[in-house]
Amino acid sequence: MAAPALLLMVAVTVVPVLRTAALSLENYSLSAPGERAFAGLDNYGRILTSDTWWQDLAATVVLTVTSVGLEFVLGFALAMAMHKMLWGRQFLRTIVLVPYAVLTVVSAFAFRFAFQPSVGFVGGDFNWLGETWSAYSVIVLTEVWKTTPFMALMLLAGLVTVPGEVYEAAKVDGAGAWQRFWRVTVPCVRPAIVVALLFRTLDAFRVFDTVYIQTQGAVGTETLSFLSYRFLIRDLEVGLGSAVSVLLFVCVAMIAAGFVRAFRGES
Amino acid sequence: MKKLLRLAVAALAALPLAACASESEGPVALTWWQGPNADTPTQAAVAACNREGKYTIKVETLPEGSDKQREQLVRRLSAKDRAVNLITLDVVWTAEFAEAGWILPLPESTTRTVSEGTLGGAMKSATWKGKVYAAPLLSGSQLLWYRKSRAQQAGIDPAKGELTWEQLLTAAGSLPDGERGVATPGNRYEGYTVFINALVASAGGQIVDPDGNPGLDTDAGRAAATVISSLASGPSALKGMSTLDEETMRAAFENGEASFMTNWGYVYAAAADRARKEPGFKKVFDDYGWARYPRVVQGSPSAPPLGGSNLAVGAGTPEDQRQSAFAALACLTSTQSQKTFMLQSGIPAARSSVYDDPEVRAKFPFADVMRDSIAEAAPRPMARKYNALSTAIQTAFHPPASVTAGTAAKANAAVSEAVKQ
Repeated sequence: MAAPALLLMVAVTVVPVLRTAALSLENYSLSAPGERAFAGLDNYGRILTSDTWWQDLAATVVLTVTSVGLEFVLGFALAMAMHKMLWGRQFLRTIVLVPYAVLTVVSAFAFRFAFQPSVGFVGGDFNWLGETWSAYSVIVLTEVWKTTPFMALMLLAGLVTVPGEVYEAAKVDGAGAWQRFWRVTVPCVRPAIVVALLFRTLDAFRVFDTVYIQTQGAVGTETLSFLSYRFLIRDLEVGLGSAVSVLLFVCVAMIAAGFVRAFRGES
Repeated sequence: MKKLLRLAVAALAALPLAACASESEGPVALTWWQGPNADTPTQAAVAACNREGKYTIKVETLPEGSDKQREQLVRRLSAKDRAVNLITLDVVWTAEFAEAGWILPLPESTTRTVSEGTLGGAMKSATWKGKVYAAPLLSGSQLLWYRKSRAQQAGIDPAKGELTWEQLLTAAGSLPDGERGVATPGNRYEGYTVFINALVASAGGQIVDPDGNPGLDTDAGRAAATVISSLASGPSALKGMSTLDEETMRAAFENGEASFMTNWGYVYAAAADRARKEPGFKKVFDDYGWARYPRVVQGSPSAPPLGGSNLAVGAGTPEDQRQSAFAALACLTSTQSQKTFMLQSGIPAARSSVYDDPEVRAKFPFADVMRDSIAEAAPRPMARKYNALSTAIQTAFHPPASVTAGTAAKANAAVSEAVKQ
């Protein structure tokens, strides 16, 4: 019975992944189809010895860590608020979700226009997207604004599974609010935390749209996804671009494995 | 369900038949792929050429911005799309498209027709390895635009066309605060490569030579870097210089923050339009002055940037349609059609005789300067890996405030890496 579903999975995920891996071993440029040749690991060697790869990796890591970190703190606070609220819970959940319903491209444009010097509503003459630190701030802000709701929702799902009796027992034992948070809430929602952080980290690590629209990778904001786009779509270097995609895939797999491991070790 | 299936099969079977039928009858159907900014003149030219009855040209619109247009075209061309017949090419794509076999070289008779009276710079941009691959349609070069009253106040006369960047920056710096700006491209985009290339060429150098060797770690490369650094660190640097493009430069020049700018000819038509709608702007518009692009080296004429677009025939065009495609290409780039384009879009023509037309001269008082500028312009490097090369240059020189004379050597290494790729 699962055969059709399996076949579909193979067709849409396994085949393209294997094809990308195969292409990454070729010296193949769309603009010079005649010079196509097998290149072994040359593409990987060229990428891993270039400054661009390491700069872009650093940029990706910085963007991922800062945005996921902020989203986690804000998301947790929002989840707690939604959980503890006695009235208007539905209403709050709805409005909190609004940013998540906005397309990334649209929110990226909205923030770009907001930070435009002199015409944007942020105001002032400062060219936010023209300097490295400020461009990072705008990108992170866009990401945080857009995906904090997702984080909050995931954490809220964890919070509602904590039985009320546990809190009562803790209260009876004389635990204060702070202690209850650290000793009861956090351990109980740990699985939800790990899943939320894992999803968001994998997502944030592949960030593309916000960077594409706001800076086009200028002032040191080029991420790994953007690099693979640049090689594949702009420079038409199919081999080199596929190798970047494979390396990106390896990074993502490593992040996922790390999270799974941390989760196992703790539980 | 069965009925539906039968219907679907019948429809599928009928498809190839229908396709055949439409090809064999009537005039040949050709599709012209172009950017979104030339609607009205395009319609006029297409209607005029269709009137001959040998072919019908249908227009497909590509996205805004040359990078995005190239991305779309390249995907179709590398898949040998039969419906990409006429293509509006950015002048820098010729080498890449020709080398990849995506566009067809023009037959000799068409070459003769399209090169007749076409300005030197424009013709160079349509040629690759000795063969002509496209017909120049629109051209254009950047001029130095300035406010006449302010130039006078600063004690210079740009109209002679002998000004150097150094003289320009010194003079602009002497103007009062808020009027000192000199607007040049500074964003990390193709226009920044245009700027850097013009500076290097004006200093007598070449970003890459025809054999693909980079030429930035030279006196010319260092001279270009010095111009950018003295501009970016001096009093004439505009706020937000690192994101300036054609439109933001035009805005800064129109609102007076910048008293000088290097920009294409369309800024004049845009200002004329604004002066018509806003009586208050008329005074500013009357103050517009124009001159040849500034020099880098005193005593040696500048090599202004060259822009524009050429028309080529896609290699996926079926054999039996190619002759019609070349005929359409010659018709669309005729002197008459170029004049229509120039009058309606404000973008300069590629043929010299268009500039002698009284109607054109009335609308473009800078016609003579523009014609000379196009004739002596320096095209951007011709290279198959042009895109990677251009990105490498932009990245090395960006942001403008970080540029020092040493940037030239850094860019040289980046270009050499990009060309090798």
